[in-house]
Amino acid sequence: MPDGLSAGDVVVLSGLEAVRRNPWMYIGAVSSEGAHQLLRELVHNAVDEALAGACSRIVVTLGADHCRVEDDGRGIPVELHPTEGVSACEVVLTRLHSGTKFERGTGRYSAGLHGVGLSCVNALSSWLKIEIVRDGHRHVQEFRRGEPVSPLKAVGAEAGSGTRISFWPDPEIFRGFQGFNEDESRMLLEELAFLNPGVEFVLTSQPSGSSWVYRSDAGIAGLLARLNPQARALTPEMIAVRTEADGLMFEAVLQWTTGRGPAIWSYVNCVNTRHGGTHVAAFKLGLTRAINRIMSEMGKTSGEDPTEIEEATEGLSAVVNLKLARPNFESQTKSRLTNPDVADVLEDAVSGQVLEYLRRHPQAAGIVSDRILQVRRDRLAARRAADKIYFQQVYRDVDERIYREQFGARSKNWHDSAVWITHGELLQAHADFCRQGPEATVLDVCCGSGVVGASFKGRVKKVVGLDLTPEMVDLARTRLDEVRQGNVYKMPFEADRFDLVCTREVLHLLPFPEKPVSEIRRVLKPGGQFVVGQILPFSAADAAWMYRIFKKKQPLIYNMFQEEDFRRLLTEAGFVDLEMKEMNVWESIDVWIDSYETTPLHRHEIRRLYREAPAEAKAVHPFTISPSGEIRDLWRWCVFSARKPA
Amino acid sequence: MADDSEFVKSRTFENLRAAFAEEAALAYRYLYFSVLADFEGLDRHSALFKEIAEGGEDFVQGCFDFLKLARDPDSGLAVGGTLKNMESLLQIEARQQGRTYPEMAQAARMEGFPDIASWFDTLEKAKRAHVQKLRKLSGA
Repeated sequence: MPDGLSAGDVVVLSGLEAVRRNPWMYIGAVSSEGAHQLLRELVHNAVDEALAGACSRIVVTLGADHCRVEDDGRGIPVELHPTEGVSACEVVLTRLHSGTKFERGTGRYSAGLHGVGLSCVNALSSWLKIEIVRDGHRHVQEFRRGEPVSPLKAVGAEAGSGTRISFWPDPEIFRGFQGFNEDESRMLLEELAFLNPGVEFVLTSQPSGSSWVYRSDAGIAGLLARLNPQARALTPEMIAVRTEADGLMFEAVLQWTTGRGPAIWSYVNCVNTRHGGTHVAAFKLGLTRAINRIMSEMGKTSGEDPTEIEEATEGLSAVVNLKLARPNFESQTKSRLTNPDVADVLEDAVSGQVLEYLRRHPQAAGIVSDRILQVRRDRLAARRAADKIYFQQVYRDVDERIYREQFGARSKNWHDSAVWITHGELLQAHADFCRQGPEATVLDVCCGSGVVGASFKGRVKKVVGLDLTPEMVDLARTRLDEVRQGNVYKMPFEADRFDLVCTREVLHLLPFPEKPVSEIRRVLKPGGQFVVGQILPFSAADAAWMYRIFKKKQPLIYNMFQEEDFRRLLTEAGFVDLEMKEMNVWESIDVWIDSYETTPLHRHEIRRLYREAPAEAKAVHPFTISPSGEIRDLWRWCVFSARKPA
Repeated sequence: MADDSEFVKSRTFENLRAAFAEEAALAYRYLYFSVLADFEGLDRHSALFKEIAEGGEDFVQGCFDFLKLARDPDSGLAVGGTLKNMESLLQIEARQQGRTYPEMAQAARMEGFPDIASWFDTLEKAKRAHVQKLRKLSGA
């Protein structure tokens, strides 16, 4: 061995040290969310006892810095482990991949599957106390950071059975931990009460002194009603699907509502699979198949043009509950199921049973298929706006109607539709360019709600607005001195009339932008000033990526200017004395894309473009994605000032 | 449905199709050369090639963003949701399997390139397997 490196130097992270070194590999996060994952692990262990039919009551007690989970299940075995030399209970608490759930005979379906849960909780707790009632005695053992403080001791005679675990999340690991969240724990237990009919779940919060008891026999139908209380149902009753096969039990309830987008809650062995997976995909596919079948039987479609999954699940509200003997998840936090083998069974069951229901309930089938046809018409109409741009030669004849429709619809929540619109510093940057005296008249072109023009007030005598959309004109009238309705390609003003013209984030929406720019030059007095703000890519490296994002957000985009293009646009129109101020403004992409003109598919694609942004773009263009998926983008705003020669 | 015939007949549509194909081929060329650079120990070259190849995905798909407004130029079918798109993929794969590669293999054989003929045969079989997988998934 070179340099005396010996076998003893090889580091083997055995046991729980590995968990303490890389806790996120096991529980997903070391934030407060991670501490809650510990709580979920223990609750799911208790639920496993319920799934095995051995437990009827689960009690969770939240303390200020700790938590206790108690069940009346069979109790973890306390006798000496045949090979390990300590109690079976200690093995389960101190060895990864130990536990009874590897023997499939003991509990067919289980949530705490990998034999990791309990030992992980122990490893990541500064203190843990376990009490087991079994074989006529109460047994107690305590642990510090995963290490036993003493062996398991019997402390007294007691009838019955059960397990009680108290743990203190280790502040060395969970640095920001401020105690357990009452609401989150309530939601968890309430959900579990619906998923385990007849089992009682009790939550007690010592800090607030409150207590809740959850117990229900309503099953997943009750859960759906509880999760989606606001939903307005389209059909009178929920449709239920149920099937059983070797190693799996599946049930689902579903109902179409007037809502937008599908709302599907999914569970595998009582664990909420927040990111879905094969069971949800199979559910949707089976449902879509049934819809296609019933619609062609009813003569509502030709069969040539099948209903898409997105159409069939629009407004769908559902709970999907799968019990599976050998589930595979994408990670230890179990948020996404990956078993490919369940797809066919579930798809066939859903498709067959939903179809049968719809055949027996022609009225419901009629309502659902009419709704889907309506969804298709709406989607086609949304596409048409984008298609028009290419297919109706707007290059030769700009179609005002498209702009009017879109911005008319958007005027309802215009100021809430993006951060930049009312961003104070950004507006100020436009106004600060003003080199005109107090007698000046300003024109705000494509003024929208008039906020840019309004930022010049106090510096000049009069601010006039111009916009194509009647709804926007009404909005702007509350801010500006005079607002006209009209088209920027041919403005309703005589030449040489204004001292300053301003506009912001408009020219990229206009084909042949040189035309409106020369119109602006026409209405400016000689020596007058043009102030214009525009979002530009940081460089050529992020431009193609940004182009796709912006075009998907807004089909009316015609130009993705880069800085040199924009400068050329101004100088070639005859403007001189170009100045530019650059400002970075954070924008919430989730807010920005929640808009009329952005289809659900485009929203999905935009999120993906951020998640999978090319390294070239990321190197120059800052943006952030939070762990919960919110996207914030740092936009490069460039505000230009240019002058019409005197 | 708006009339898309002018767009489809336009030179621009044909150019988009060419740009789509060229950018896709170029991205894979970068990946190919990145492996060679790796072998030569030129880590920075290899990393840059890989980075450019990955960025190329946006160039390729950006072209398709426009093409799909009318149709997939290679299958002639409209682009829609997955169930529709499967049809498009099936057509292309079936055509490659049933016609393109057998013809290419035959030509290679006649021109005295038996190894390349065998390569085309291999591709043909891969395509056949794809067709089977797609058909199975679409329940056909």
